[in-house]
Amino acid sequence: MDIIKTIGLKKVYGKGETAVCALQPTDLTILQGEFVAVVGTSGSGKSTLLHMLGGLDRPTHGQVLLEGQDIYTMREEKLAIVRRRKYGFIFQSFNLIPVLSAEENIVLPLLLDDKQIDHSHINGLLDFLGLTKRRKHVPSALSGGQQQRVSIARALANRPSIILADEPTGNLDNRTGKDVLDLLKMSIKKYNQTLLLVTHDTQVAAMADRVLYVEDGIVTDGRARACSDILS
Amino acid sequence: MQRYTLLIPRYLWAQKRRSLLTIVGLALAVALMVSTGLLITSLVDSQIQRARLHHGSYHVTLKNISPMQFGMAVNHVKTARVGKVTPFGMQRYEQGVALIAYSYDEHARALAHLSLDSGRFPKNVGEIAIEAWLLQELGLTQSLDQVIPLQLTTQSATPINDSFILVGVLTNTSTNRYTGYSRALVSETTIVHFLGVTAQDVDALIEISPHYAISPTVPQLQRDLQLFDDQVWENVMLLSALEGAKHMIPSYLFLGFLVIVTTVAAIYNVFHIAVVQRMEQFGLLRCIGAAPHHISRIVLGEAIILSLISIPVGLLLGVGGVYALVYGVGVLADKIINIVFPPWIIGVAAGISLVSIYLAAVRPAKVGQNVPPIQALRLEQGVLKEQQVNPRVWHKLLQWCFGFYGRFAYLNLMRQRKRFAVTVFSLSMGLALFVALGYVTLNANPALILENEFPAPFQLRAQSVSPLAGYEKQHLDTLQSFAGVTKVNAIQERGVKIQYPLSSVTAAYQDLVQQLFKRAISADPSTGLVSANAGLYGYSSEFLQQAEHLLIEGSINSERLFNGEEVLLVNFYTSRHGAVPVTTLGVGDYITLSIQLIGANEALSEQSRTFRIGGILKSNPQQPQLVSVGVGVVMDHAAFQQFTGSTLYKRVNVYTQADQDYEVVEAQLLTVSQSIHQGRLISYWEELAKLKQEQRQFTLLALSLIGVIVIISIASIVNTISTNLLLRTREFGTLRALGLSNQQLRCLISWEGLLYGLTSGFFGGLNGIGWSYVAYWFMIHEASYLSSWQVPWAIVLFAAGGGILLCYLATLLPLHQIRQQSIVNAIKAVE
Ligand SMILES: Nc1ncnc2c1ncn2[C@@H]1O[C@H](COP(=O)(O)OP(=O)(O)OP(=O)(O)O)[C@@H](O)[C@H]1O
Ligand SMILES: [Mg+2]
Repeated sequence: MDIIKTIGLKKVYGKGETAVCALQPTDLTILQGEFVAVVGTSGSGKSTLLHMLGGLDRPTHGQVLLEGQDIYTMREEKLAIVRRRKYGFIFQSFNLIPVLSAEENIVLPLLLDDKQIDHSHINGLLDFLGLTKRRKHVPSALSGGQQQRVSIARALANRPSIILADEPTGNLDNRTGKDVLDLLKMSIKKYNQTLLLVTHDTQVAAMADRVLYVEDGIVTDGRARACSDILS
Repeated sequence: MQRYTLLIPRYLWAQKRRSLLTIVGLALAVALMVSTGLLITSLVDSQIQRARLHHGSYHVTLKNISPMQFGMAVNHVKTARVGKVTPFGMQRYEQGVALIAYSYDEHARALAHLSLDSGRFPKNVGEIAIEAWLLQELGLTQSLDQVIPLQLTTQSATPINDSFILVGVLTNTSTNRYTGYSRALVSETTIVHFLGVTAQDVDALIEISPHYAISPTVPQLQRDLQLFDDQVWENVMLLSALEGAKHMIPSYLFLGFLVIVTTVAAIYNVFHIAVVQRMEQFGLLRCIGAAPHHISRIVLGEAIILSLISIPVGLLLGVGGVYALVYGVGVLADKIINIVFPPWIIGVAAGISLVSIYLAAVRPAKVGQNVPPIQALRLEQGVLKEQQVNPRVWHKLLQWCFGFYGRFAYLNLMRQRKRFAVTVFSLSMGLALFVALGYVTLNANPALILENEFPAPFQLRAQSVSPLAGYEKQHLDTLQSFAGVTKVNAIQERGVKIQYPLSSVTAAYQDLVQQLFKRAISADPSTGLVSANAGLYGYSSEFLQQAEHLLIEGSINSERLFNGEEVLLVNFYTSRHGAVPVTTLGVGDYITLSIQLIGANEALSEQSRTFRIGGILKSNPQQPQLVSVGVGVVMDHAAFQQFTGSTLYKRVNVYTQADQDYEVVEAQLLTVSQSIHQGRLISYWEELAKLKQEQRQFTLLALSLIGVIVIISIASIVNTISTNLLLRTREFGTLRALGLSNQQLRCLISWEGLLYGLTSGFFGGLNGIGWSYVAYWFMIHEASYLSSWQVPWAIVLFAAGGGILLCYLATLLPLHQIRQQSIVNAIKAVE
């Protein structure tokens, strides 16, 4: 069953002379429970794609269907609810809230939803990410890697159906990076989640069910590419 | 970009709206300071000028001095101007008024500020100038060259019986009009002609040279000219008016202080925000190699550019505003004769603003220099003192009271504690000033004060001291029946003897009597009672009930006053040095009054009665012109009639409808007033009309001051709140990406505004209450009718509510902007 489907998704930044076409018209289908890696050179449009799939940025053309529903035709209030219930977003730059402690940052999506906090789940996350001792610290007192781990925990806190991760392991050493990936993989298996992960690491990409290549705003499906490679 | 300093204009230009807000805030603050300073100096100066106009510029009068002594006075080193006044003669009229003729030389005329409504001063023999009100009371026109027959009693034995030619109409003096003694002028040649002497004794009006202090100079003059005590009369009215002007200075200083504190807070706030918001940028610049001095140069450059624009604009606005208000709109035109424009005010205002700007901008920049660059980068993220957020009780309480959003907003404000504190301080100062000014406007309106001195537009007055002269009940009925008359109330008056124990006379009063009359107060040796003259006054019950605000002690019990069981006491001797209590008598003590009654066959009999004191009053109700000299006893009409047997009224106050044509009423009242022996009509309606105008102007002035304060507060709070929010665009973007709905966003941001508002409203209200009390404390000297201080709840709540609403509204603009921005742009935004 496909969870996300895009139809002619296109993004142009700016107007006239300075217009940049960050994403060429794209038709994509992502299945439920799939682990998709997104690779491509810097500035190729990976983040742009993720933002639009995650309901963060309006496309210039085309649609994003989440479980068959076009998210950009939703009212802003509804879209906000979708964001906090369906998605978990890990940003390239962590974007933590400076006044809240690590733990509070993690439960923020639940707080926004007035949800009961599942403390064992949160404690498990903290424990696994090695943040238990740091749970009361504010982000500015954490190292870059620790901040990244907090942002990952935040994305997993509400057990979203889709995790969108923009280079989550970029700031981590190899070992921790691997641990984080394991956590993500474990999580998607356990809760039948879908994971879209931007990475420059070919090893990481190799672990994915599928790889999307992005080049100058053109998205090519890994399978299709593999086929064409074989054909050529 | 060739030079790094080009960053300054670029930045200011890029942040047009914020720069404009900063300039507006600064300029208004400067304007407020300058205009308050100008108004205060002009008011003080004009008050002194006005005192001179009313009471003359001379400090002392030397009476009945010889021509030689006069010459000595003129040549005395400590005198500036000396005017010669030569007495001529006096005529009494049957209306109860009198004309006293003098000659005034040029200096005397200037020192006494005599002026003419029409015509000229007398020059030749047989010419005379008379005050306008006297002509009116005598039923004469004001036309010049008419013949005035006079029968003058003079110092020489034979009275002068001759006709004079009216050559000038003198401007009224209100005190003369009230006492009924009118001044008339003749020429010196006239006096020589009629009295035949050239070396007559004269009075000298002396203006003491400004280089010498007044109080030691007066006895010196007395010694040098060898004068007796009763020849030396200080111009107590001028001296006390000058003292009164001095009395006002602390309240003006207080107002000035409040304005300065408020403006400094506003300037500091506006500027501090402008700098702190750029800390991150400074961190960045330093990361790429900018030295500390580069940073301070940028900050300084910015401060200079903004000051160069806003301070001159503010000075122009302030000075122009005062000129426009006073000369254009006519606000305070009666109070301010000339706008005094001392250049130091400009200097002080500019200096204070520069110092505030320095403190607000350069200091934090210095601090910023000492912070390691990387930390400066993080500064904007908020340096929380504690590295850990502990779930303290306080936080739990906040969360419990205001929920997650309230607590989150609180945390956000606390990350920039200092900025929050500065903003709250600035806004609460503005609110407190608003409360204090509002309190003063409602309670200390100068027109209100004066209105208390002029109780009614008209007063009918029986001038004769005879107990058989006065208005009767039937007169009151006639007055009441006139169209346009709303209320008539009458006052009975009678001289009596009062007896009280010598032990109850205050030491202060005994000293005063010793000093003024060179005698000690003595008592009847057998009874130990002092017997003194006192005024006995009868008021209507309804009237007495309205005199509650004059009570110092005790109560006004209508029933007991009506039955004559109790009386009220006015217990002051008023001299130039203020009011001194005569006795220590209090509520529950007894006094004995005795009165001479005229029985059948004009036989005199004395009647005495003892009364219990029910209350002590500050002054006689509604007769502020009546300066209390000694004890006054206030009774109900019924008790007065029972004790004195008299049903006659000495004074009748007549109130009219506001829109009444006063001249028509005046003509009607005149016939009634003159229907008794020595009956006079005193009209105050012209003064009252002027007062009403003054009242409107005062309100206008206060409103414009309040308006400026409100604008400053708005500029400062909008600036702060929008800066604070827009700086966190990225955070709000993240929150939205995490699924914060617009509804929740509004809630979060409103909470921040509300926290600003609640804190400022609370402190502002509290401060305002305190300041209004200080204002009351200053005003009580001037406005004796103010009863007691009460918390001005209405104004406080209005100000606090306004502050909260203002802060809430200030969030709407940035809220809109934040919502408009796409989430991705917001997340990427790095200022
Ligand atoms: N707001 C914007 N305005 C104009 N151009 C933009 C904007 N945001 C992104 N772009 C452009 O769109 C293109 C794609 O950007 P995007 O952030 O998606 O790249 P990316 O693949 O994530 O790169 P990286 O691996 O460096 O993060 C880039 O060329 C970028 O310059
Ligand atoms: Mg990217």
